[in-house]
Amino acid sequence: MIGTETALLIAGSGCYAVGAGFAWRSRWPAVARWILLGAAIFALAIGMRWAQFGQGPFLTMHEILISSLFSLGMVFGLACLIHPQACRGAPVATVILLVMAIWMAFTDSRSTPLPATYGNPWLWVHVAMGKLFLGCCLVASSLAAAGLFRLRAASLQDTGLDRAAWQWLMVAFVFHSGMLIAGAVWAQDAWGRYWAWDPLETWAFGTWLAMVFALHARVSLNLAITPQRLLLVGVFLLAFLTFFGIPFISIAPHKGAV
Amino acid sequence: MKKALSLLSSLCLTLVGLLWLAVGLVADQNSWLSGVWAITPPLFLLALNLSAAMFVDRRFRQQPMLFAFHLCLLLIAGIAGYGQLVTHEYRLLLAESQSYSADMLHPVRGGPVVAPGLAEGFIRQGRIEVDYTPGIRRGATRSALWLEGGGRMVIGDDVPLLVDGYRFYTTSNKGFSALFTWLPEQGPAVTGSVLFPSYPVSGLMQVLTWRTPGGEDVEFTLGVPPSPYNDNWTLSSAHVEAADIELSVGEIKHTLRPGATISLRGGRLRYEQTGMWMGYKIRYDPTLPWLFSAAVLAVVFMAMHFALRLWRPAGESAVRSDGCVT
Repeated sequence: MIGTETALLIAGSGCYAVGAGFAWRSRWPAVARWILLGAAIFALAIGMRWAQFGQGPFLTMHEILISSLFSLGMVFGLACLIHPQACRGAPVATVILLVMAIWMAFTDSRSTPLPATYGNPWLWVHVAMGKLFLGCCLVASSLAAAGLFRLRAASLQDTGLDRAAWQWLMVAFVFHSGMLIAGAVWAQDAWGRYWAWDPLETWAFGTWLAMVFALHARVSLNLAITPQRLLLVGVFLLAFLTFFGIPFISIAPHKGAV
Repeated sequence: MKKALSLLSSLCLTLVGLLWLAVGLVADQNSWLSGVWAITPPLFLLALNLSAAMFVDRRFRQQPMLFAFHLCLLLIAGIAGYGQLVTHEYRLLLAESQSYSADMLHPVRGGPVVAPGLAEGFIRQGRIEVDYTPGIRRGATRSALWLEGGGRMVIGDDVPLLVDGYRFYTTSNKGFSALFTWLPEQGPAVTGSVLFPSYPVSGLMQVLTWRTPGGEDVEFTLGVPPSPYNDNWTLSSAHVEAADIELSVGEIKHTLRPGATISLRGGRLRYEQTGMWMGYKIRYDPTLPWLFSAAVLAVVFMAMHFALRLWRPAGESAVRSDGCVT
């Protein structure tokens, strides 16, 4: 007998799997619909969990994966609706979502009480900006990866695809900068310092630097298409490692936060 | 001169500076190099590179939002650098009923520019409470402060006390205190607190030594009841309200209850009551509002620049002889 939350998580992941199936057949409108449906189901699961434990999904790896499955799916699905070009990265993006869903299944779903410093309103701004950044970064890098691997409707010289990828990286860069500022304000109130080079802060700044490097390299070095795509994929890998790798070396998203 | 400026403003140099900064971050994180030496030189190079570009690059100046964004980045670097000169950090331990005094401040670090002082007695410590959940996990901290003039404020966790550019933060460092009055054989009585080690981290070690004004060393041991490990509970002075204090003078031990007096060399010591103390982290950083404003403006200008680019077709770019685009 499985609980309602688990059933919802399975259903949400299932929707992403169906979306992946449509993505590999290049049926873009269906991809957007299934991914948005999956995101809505994840939102429901988060809401139920929130009501049960009385706190948001901010702390454990399980919670961070659930909330990211929701936010990444939501951003990618909406991106497909408002910018159909974005959907061409769906074969890659859906695979990433499914990997995260499988990872989530192996994480401990128990809740840990939030530290008192997590009640700060700037935490909401910080997390929202971070989720939007990663979502936009997923759109950009999945487009680049689709071009790199010449997946479905993507070719080696596809300027429309690459232009769309860089546009999404620009949006991601704005959100990432907002995330750093909101995080600094939160840290100032919570721990009495706005920046302390803790592992997550350093990696987040490293990701910001990687984006700055990519944006400058693109305009200054006349890069060929393949290195450009590699840069975009590299930025996402670094961001992914920052979001989901740091908890392995720290007991909380920010070491010392508990 | 013009050629030197042109070289200094090169976007290729920007890329070198960014890579150097990335290497500096890795070096700092792995403690291969101290933060100052790992991060400051590449930041300085990038600031020089950016300043030169703003000065010589006409195309750069023709994009006002991009220009303003980079100007804000320079401002942030400048403000952060100035902050190193004027920022001060202190520690302060304050027992319940005790008033602030400048000689209680313990400097941790600070720049060469002297910070303005705080008025003596501008705050008095009120009740301290810290919530705990099962497993002795620390929850909310509430520290009441009486402000000069009659106001009262409860701070804790992410709510600091802001006064004259100073920010007072509660910390996890707190414990029990005991209030004593020293009654000398001649002269006026003096009342003061002794602070026991941090609790609950040093729960079983509530012992401290103190030298009386009469020059005698005494040892206090506070009998603290065990903490409820599996329950929700609140740490406050009520936890030790009825606790005895064992006072040792050499080999002789005395058990004191509140109100008890003991004769010692040069006078008598009266045990008044137990309470709590709170460890504060205090920061004076007048650059914070400026830093925040510059950062927000930077993001706004960057967003506007990208928005303008997203709504216009891709432009041509001129390639310089060194391969870098101007």
